[in-house]
Amino acid sequence: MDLIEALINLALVMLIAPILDGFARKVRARIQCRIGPPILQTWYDIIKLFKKRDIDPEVSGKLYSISPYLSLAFSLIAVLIIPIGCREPPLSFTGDVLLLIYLLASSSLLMAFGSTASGNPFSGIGASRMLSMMILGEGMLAGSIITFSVFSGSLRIGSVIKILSTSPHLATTVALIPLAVFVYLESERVPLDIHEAEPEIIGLLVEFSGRKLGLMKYSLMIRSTVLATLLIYLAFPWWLADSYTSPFYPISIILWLLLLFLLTFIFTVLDSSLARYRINNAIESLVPFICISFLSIVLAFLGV
Amino acid sequence: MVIALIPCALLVFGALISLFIRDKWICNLLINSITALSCFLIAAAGVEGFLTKAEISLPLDLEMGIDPLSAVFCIVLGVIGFSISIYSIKYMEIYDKMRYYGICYTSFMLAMYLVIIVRNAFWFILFWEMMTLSSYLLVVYEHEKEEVRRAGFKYFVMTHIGVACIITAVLLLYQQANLAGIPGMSFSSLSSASRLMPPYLLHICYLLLLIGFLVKAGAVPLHSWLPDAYPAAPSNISALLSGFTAKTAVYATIRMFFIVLPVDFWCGILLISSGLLSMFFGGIYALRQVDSKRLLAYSSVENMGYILLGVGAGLSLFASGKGVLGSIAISAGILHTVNHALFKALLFLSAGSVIYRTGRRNMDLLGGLGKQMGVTSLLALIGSLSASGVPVLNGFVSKWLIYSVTASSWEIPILPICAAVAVMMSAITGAFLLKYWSSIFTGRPVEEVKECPKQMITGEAILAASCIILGIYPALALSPIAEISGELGIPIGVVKEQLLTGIFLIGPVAVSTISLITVFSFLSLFLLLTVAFLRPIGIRAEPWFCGARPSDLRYQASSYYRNIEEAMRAAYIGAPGISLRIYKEPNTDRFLVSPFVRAFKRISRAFLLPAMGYIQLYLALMFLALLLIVGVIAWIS
Amino acid sequence: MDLAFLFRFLSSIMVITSVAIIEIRDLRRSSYAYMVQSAILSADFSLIAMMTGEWHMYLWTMSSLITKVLLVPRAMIWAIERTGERSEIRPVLPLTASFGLEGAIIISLFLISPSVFPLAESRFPSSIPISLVLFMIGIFGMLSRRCALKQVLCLCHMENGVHLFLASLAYRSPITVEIGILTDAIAAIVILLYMAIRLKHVAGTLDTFKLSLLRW
Repeated sequence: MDLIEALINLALVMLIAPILDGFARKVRARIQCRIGPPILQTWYDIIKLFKKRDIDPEVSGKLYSISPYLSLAFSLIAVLIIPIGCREPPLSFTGDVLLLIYLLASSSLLMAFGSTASGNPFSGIGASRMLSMMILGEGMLAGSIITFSVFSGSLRIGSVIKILSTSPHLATTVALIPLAVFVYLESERVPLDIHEAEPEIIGLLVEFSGRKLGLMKYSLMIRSTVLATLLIYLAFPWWLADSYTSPFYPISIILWLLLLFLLTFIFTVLDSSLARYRINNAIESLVPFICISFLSIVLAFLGV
Repeated sequence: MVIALIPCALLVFGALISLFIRDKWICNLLINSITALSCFLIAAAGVEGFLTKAEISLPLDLEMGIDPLSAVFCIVLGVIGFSISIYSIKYMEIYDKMRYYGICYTSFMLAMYLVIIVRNAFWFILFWEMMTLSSYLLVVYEHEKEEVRRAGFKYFVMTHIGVACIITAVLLLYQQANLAGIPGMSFSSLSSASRLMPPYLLHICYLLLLIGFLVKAGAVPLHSWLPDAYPAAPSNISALLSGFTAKTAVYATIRMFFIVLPVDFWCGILLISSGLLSMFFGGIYALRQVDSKRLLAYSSVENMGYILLGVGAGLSLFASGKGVLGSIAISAGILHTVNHALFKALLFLSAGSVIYRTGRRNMDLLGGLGKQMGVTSLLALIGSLSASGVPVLNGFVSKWLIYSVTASSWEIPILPICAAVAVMMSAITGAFLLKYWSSIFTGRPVEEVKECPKQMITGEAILAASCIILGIYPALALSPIAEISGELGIPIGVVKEQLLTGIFLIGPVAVSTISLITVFSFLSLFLLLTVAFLRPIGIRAEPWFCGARPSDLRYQASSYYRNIEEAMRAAYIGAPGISLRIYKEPNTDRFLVSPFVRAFKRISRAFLLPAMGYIQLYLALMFLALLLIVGVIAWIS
Repeated sequence: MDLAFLFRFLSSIMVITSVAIIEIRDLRRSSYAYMVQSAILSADFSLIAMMTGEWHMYLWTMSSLITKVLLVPRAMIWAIERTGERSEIRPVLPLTASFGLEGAIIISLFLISPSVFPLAESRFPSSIPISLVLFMIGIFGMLSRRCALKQVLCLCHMENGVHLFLASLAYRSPITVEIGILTDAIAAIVILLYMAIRLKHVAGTLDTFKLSLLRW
């Protein structure tokens, strides 16, 4: 594992994630014909949250205090597994793509565990809904990822991207659709942000405050960024540098940033234009995408 | 090899002694201590047998031996049995019938130990049957209750049909052995006989053995006894049943299908399909349970699905010629067996702790026990996270290994699809375990309870510690498991290299290691926590109820995941459209078991016609039959 | 005196006692009839011993004296006392029909048996037909009687027939056969009598048509 590359990747993602969120808020504001907060506003918010004192419910357990850290730890490790700018991620071995799925899922799961540990029944509602969405989301994600690995004959993200860059195929293009929906789902955007349905119930994060809330939100943003990066590189596996020392590296980083902002822009436009689903509709609307993801596995086997 | 026989003697001694002790408390203590000691010796025997590969031949054809496969299972039985016995020292205080418990428990342990050691088919069936009978007696421990009796009866009938199938298959093989002149019923002679059998007969044997073993393992078409029997039994017995009895079926499957009989591709496919169905249905049904032990029972079905997926994948890969990948798949299946035994036993013991203190299994009526039962809550949390596959704990390693193997076997198209389904099921596992843990341990407390006694916590703590250790250092379990591939004819070195360089903690070129990741996550977590504790702790306040007055409102366990149930209505066969409060359990029995039962009843009723309750009539009929036989014989000769 | 003649004479008396056992309504008197029959059986055994010179037929004699003449009737009387059902049974067939059937059985057996069993006629004349008669009449008794204690008695009666058959054909058999017969005679009868007592306790009657009340 290349430590320097790991550190660079970590630093990049940790810096960029809140900025992406700020950019999203700006775009949404513009669509709604207002000026909106500055792009760095999310950073200011997180720093402010870190400065505030936490208020803990009296019925909470210790897991409630620890889970934001655990969740963030898992998200950060997930950062090391995806490539950013280079062809090979810092941590790469056979089966790392499955590890990625697991880390992201564990991060969300720990968020849910921690919120129920706070003892508020609304957290229970939020956790139940969030995990319902996650179940379907995992179906879509697993189908797509397995398609990619079947198609490229490998379970390492680096090799997958390398093989994809040679020629696009129908199977992988079809697999991108459920993956895109999953990334949309995980970034908590409007049609599907059931567990953060603020006007309805506050959702999972109802009892978190102060530093814990900051960490949870930050962890969420990092997860979204990681998934967005994955989506970008699976859709656009070209123009990646060989390593962080090559001269092409800054260009590929700029390309990465551009694509990230583009993706965020598209997502935010969708976000502002649509209304939130009811939980039943949300679940029923996701089922076709699961079918599409399994269909793409079959297509990959057929070699199409 | 003497170590291997001491536990047998000890357990028999325990069984006999429990008959004579009247005092409840002394009997309880004695039985559980003896069993704990024997389990410790069983684990030691496993380790010794693994190192020296010993064999014993007793008279009457009782051949026993500990090879790597048996050794792994011995060690698992030792660890689980030890923890459960220590736990039971205090847990059994809520029950009364100590002598009943003493005899059945010791013979259950003895039978399970002997099943994984014998090398002779006759004794194997004998001990299998002994295991079934003693576990039945333990399941109906509270036989005053109607539903316990019914659950036990269902368990009894279904497992005995399985045993009948196994006996038939063994007899077919034995007949072939006789025809070929091979003496004895040991596994090796059956093995040689099976190679001389005509193919259709061999396939019938495969099918019969599969039915027999799948019933015991609790895999989906034949699992319907499981969700009734596990809640009915006392919690330590459920832990033992789920943690080891189902695994003996896995052991038997591996022993029969890989070592004794020639490998067959379609058996592997059958195992895989059974695994897929178990994963799916186990998870889906577990989502909506309100009874804590029933939820864990369905979770056992689901995990058995994973195990069968691994083992079946191994079988199919073996049969297609991919030896190395196949043995990795089997190692993954066996590793998940070990891990599942550990965390499922832990979960059942935690459910038992809750029952010990509150007497309730209904999660709607429980809640908020975490503050008062802090240690139990933590251990249950470790169990839940382990079962969900969170990376630092052991469930993750085996699940990851199973997914990697199945996703890499591109020649068998169904396997990557199974991997995708398995990942989805993994999310469902996390979901229902969250429901389990949070319904019982979080929220506002429902009543005043005290923490559980030390012995119960010790038992659970041993299991939790093994979960954590195996999570960080999986090589501890994987190196012995990799040795099993030596039995299967694959060079051990290749398999070990494939398995362990990915997973070995301190390896020569250990760049790409999962353990390194988990340790890294620990370190980063630790750093963040130290940064955290530089600040004062937050102030306490009431939970936020969106502006309303705080009340005793709780999110009930029965409301979790209702939407998923509505969306997947079709999967809950037999349930009405939207079930608000009473969730009707889907009944696979309707399709699989009931037709047979009805036909059987009709046939039996036909036989009942001449019997009208008068013994004179029976006598007359018997005598006429006798005359008939004598006449026929006389006429023939 | 000619032993063979004595043998035939005693066996004929056994036929009369067999009808008596079945037909007598009073249970005590049936038991006494059984006692008489068993005594004659033992005498038959000793006659066989004297005729063939096998010394362990004397053992048979002694054991059958002890078990069948002393122990079994004692057990029967114990059971009669315990149930308190002194002497009533409710047969299926009326007396004349019963007699008629028995007579038919006896005659037909005597007619058939020389052709079916040509063997042992030489040494022990008419022992085969008589043992078959005992057997068949025992079965007839079991089929046509309703009282549980009477059925036990008929079972013992059947056993008498079987033992006579065995002794006249297989007089050289080893001691284990003897042990088997011994245990059978006592253990089975005691268990049956216990069940009859339970029947009386549970159902209030010894009617075997009510045996299904013993089920749980």
